[in-house]
Amino acid sequence: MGQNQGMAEKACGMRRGKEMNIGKVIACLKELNFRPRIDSFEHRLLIQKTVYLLQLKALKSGFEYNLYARGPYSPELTDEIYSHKNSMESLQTSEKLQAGELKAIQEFSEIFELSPSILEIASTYALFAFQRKEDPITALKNVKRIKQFYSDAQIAAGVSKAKEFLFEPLGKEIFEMKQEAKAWQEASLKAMRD
Amino acid sequence: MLLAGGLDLFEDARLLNSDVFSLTRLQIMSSLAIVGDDGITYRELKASLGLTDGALYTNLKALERMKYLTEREVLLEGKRLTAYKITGEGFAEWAKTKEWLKKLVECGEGRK
Repeated sequence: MGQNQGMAEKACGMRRGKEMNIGKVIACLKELNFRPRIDSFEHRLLIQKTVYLLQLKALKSGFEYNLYARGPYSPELTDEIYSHKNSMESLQTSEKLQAGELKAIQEFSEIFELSPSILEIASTYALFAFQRKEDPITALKNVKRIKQFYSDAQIAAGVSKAKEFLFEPLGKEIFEMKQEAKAWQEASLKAMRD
Repeated sequence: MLLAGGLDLFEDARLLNSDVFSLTRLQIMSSLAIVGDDGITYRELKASLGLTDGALYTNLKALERMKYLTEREVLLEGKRLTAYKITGEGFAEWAKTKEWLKKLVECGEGRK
């Protein structure tokens, strides 16, 4: 465990969540086929952002995230990562993932490629747009301010992936999309018949 | 309850390092204390605090001279970035400072 990590928790007056489950995180990394090196800054970043996005969707690992200088970040998760360094690096856990969690991980791996920049941008956008429910324009402005060191193209890619992963249309929206597609479908069927 | 400007508060203040008491330095210390051993890159600090390079660099160097933080290089997507990490001494000073600020706020609650 990093010597400063436990102190960080005390210094910040934080309490541990009752339902934190590092086993779920390890099972999730195993499913993603990602064997992290805990001493790597990049790998710890990948874990932080991956867990955040998956928790928003389905993963029940119970880590509390807030917005800090590094974007969405869980000091408790960092603490657990260092405490379970060996299990994390060897991907050893007896924890099982639920069907919904496995489905979310599958979708995650289809959309994201464990790219630190994309995950940083996507998770920051997700915090503003999906967790804080800000409108998309305000959320994008906030991402551009906090992640100003990334190019517009990188931000666009990250935001688009966050939307693809997290957007769940409401019943009304599904109906409207079907109505919109129906006209096109009918036209193409008519063209085939003619 | 302590009164505003209570003597206890002044006594406690003697134990603090007054060089930490600038908005920028307090922001840097609190940001670094949260992430502990993970540290924060220079570019993240600059973007989140909204500071110029000059202001940020000067304050980071001052805190580094006080031995409250250390500088190191980290690798991210093949790029070498400068990152900062709080030290044990930095944590201890931050904890004292925060405790004192809490007392200061509580003192102010005595009168409206």
